[in-house]
Amino acid sequence: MADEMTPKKKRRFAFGRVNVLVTGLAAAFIALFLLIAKRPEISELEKRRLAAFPEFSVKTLFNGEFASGLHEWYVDTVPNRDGLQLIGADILALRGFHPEEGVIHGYVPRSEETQYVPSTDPVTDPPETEPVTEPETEAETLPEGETAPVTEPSSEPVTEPVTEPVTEPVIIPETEEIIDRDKLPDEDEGLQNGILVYKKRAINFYGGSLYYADRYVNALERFYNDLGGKVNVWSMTAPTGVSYYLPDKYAGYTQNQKEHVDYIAGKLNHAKNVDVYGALDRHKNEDIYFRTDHHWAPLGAYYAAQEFAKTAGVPFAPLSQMQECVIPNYVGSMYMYTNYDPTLKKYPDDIVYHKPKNNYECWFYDTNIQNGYQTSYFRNDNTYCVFIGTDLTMVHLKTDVKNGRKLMIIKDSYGNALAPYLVNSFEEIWVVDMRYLNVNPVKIMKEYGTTDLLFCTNLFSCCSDVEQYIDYIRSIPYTLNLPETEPVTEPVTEPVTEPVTEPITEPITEPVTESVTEPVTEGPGPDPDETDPGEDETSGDAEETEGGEEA
Amino acid sequence: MIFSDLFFLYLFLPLCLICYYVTKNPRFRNAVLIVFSLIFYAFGEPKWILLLLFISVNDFFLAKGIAKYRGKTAGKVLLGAGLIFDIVLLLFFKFSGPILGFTDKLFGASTDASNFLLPVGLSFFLFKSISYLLDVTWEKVEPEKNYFRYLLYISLFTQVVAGPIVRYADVETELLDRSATSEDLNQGVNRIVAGLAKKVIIADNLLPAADDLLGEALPDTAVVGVWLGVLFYTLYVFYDFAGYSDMAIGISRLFGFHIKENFNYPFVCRTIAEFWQRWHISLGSFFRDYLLYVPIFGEPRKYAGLFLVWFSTGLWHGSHWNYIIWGLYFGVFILIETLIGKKKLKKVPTWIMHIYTKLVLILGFGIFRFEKLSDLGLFFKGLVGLNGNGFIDEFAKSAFIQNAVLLALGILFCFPIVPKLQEKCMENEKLRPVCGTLTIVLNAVLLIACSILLVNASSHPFLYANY
Repeated sequence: MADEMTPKKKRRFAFGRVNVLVTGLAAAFIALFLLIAKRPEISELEKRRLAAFPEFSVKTLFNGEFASGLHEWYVDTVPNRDGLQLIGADILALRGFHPEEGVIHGYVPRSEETQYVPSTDPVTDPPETEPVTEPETEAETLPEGETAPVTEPSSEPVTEPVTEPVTEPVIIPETEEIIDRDKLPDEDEGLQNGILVYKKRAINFYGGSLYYADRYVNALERFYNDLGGKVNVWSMTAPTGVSYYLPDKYAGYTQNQKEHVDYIAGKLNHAKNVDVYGALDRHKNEDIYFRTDHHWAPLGAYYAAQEFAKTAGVPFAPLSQMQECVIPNYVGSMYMYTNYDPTLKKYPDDIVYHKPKNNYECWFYDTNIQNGYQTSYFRNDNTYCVFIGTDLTMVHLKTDVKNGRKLMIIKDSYGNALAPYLVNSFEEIWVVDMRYLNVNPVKIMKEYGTTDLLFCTNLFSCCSDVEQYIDYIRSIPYTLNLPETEPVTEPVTEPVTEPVTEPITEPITEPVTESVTEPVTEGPGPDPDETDPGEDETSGDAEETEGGEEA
Repeated sequence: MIFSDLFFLYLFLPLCLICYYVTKNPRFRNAVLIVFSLIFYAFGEPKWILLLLFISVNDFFLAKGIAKYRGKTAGKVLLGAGLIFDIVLLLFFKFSGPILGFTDKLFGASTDASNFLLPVGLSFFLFKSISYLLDVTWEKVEPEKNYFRYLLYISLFTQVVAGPIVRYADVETELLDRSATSEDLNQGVNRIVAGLAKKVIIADNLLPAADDLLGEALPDTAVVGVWLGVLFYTLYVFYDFAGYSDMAIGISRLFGFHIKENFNYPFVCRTIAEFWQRWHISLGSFFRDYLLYVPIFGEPRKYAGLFLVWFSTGLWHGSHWNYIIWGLYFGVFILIETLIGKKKLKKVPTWIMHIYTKLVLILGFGIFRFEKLSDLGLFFKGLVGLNGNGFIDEFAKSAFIQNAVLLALGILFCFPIVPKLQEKCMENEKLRPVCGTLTIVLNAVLLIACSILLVNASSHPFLYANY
């Protein structure tokens, strides 16, 4: 065939064959790479577990689940996924220009809040949307306007587990449990709006609703009632960076966070406001917010904690009494939310965080407050996850402070950076995430004699739909299942609906390794250094800039 | 499964090619293609494979009957039965959901209208089926004697999901036997890579840009933002569908099938009528050949036929009012152009015709986008600044700056620059090797770049796979 061709056609023919060969080889290489190379199970970049290989059965074959699962697994677990995504981001960046001063990503709804006309009265009688399963008999609310004394123990002294452990606790360092909460909103923390990248900083425009602010306030008041008015309930509505760093010419794209913070503060009745807005405003010229991440920086959390300690009347340790650590070159969540804005990659953050120097123990639990193990609050991670790793982790901190004050922080991820700064302020601190907790926190608080309850969420959450989570966890039945490995020496005689005022006959859920008779650090539990690879002490990335030892 | 997908490109297609080229036996090759086509179609939604098989069996035997009784009453009855079956089936699946949704609203019932999903590609393979029955009736083709060859025609995975609507006459001989030459493979590879790049690099990135401006932010978007958004969207629709068609043509060519072009640089048109001769050619020619001259009230009526075609074109795209408005909108402009006449239109300066056509097209795609009439109203108000958002704002500027290169490429490649350049290069002895080498390098680079971008992309199905 080629012999009959003219020289012109021959050359074209030759180029065509080489073209097929080269493109075919490139395709074959990619196909082999996808077939042979090791597939990841998690994405560090997206902080999620990737799709699993589907289970095969005749049923899943014929209903299409196997095929769609196979497809999802194949495209989701591409070898070196994270690295390729970053290369893809660099390619995508070529689609336009990215001036460092003023690029908006995503859509920006600017319409005024309509339809909802907020009331001007503070909440005095929160609507009764009581938990379905909880027969609360202890709701002795204090007279209006009277708050619980801050030092008053709320109930019977907390009894530590009375049994000696006979088995080692199950170590589940990072639970990836997915909770079925179909009726609840997604667990994001706002970020629905557009993001401005301005002078190396990503700023998420704010859009909240006072309708939800009212619901948030009511949810807090219901909590207060559930706790019988004996616990100080605090509300910390953390503003985001848009409050302090938005240039004036973009002011029309965002709602005013200060107005919403003040609105909530004005509506609170028994729950008390912690004015972090003002505290952060005084330090806005410092690095109180990340430039590349949607969270506040640890320094911002520090000032918020300081304000809280001042408001709550507890001692507070200045930064000079803490150990400073630095994780350099952190490119945060905004990089992904902005569809990989190259400016953010070019100018990464440093995570400057602080470790308490006083003696304290840190216990990690899963979302059922089970499978506890002792570890470090700070993880071997180069991201914001340096604090407790994941929001699925529930934490119990026990400190050397002796002031009769015990705190529970019900939080979103903003609370993760906050808690370490309060280790010098409270005897015990529970840190639980309202989006993932599977145990009624009222139950925990009553059993542990908690004196203070702090809601710490960013303003996006408060003024969107976070109250649904708050009501949800409050409605969870009081059934604290014991860890399977823990011997039950006393039968659990309480019915599920046993009123919480009854004496607690079931051992509390503190892990059995935390025996009162032995020092915890040398107790029968696993050596954290050996069993917990996520612990910070093994990290070579964090630069400790000040000496000192952690408990 | 879609073409611009790692699973398809690097698992399904290579496996199919390997199995196909194991032997030269045409029957075996057809069997391979049928098996892979059925897997392709069943992937994720196996239940609809039965529908596809049923339609193919039904048409196959109806066509035999029609041919046997051609010109007789029995033949007409069989044709009528076939057409009614196909059209009712299409209307049922396309409009059950929306009708139920409407009646639910009207009577407060609670039927789950979302259960009535449109089987993938139904509009396309039913139109193939209709064209086949009519062509057999009109003696343009003889009925296929082998069922499996007919099944291959209906189900071939390169066309089953989103066309083109290939006529049986165009592939009749290739269904029997075919071979792919080196030039076929070369052109096939070029078209696949070009289509992939159109889809993954341009279309998939234009859509989010359009969504940002015309999505929830529409009530707040400034005039420039609305125009920019609809320009993004217009280009997105073009590159999405043209990219798909390129890939369909290219993949078909790897197996030796030669499919007619479905797009021919539609935006170079001087008139709206010309646009529709260059845009989704297989659909336009289907309506022209089978519907335009259909007797209405006993005889063919030119203008009524024209509006029937454009009403049907709109309806084919969806059951919402905007699609019908969209179809009739183009019908009105084509009617005006027809009334003015080709000779007079030729005398109008080219630049005026280009401004006219591009404006009509961009506004048309605006109508195409907004299924809710309230959004459509907002869109038109936004175009002329009646939403009170000013002429231009930071948001619109930002959208432009971030996508400026993409927009420039999108506009540039709407015009036949690449073929012209290739033509010039091939004419020049010195430039020829440069052009050849550049094509090879560009193909490899684009393939790798698109594959990397596909890792990052959540799945963006082709727009026309919804029809």
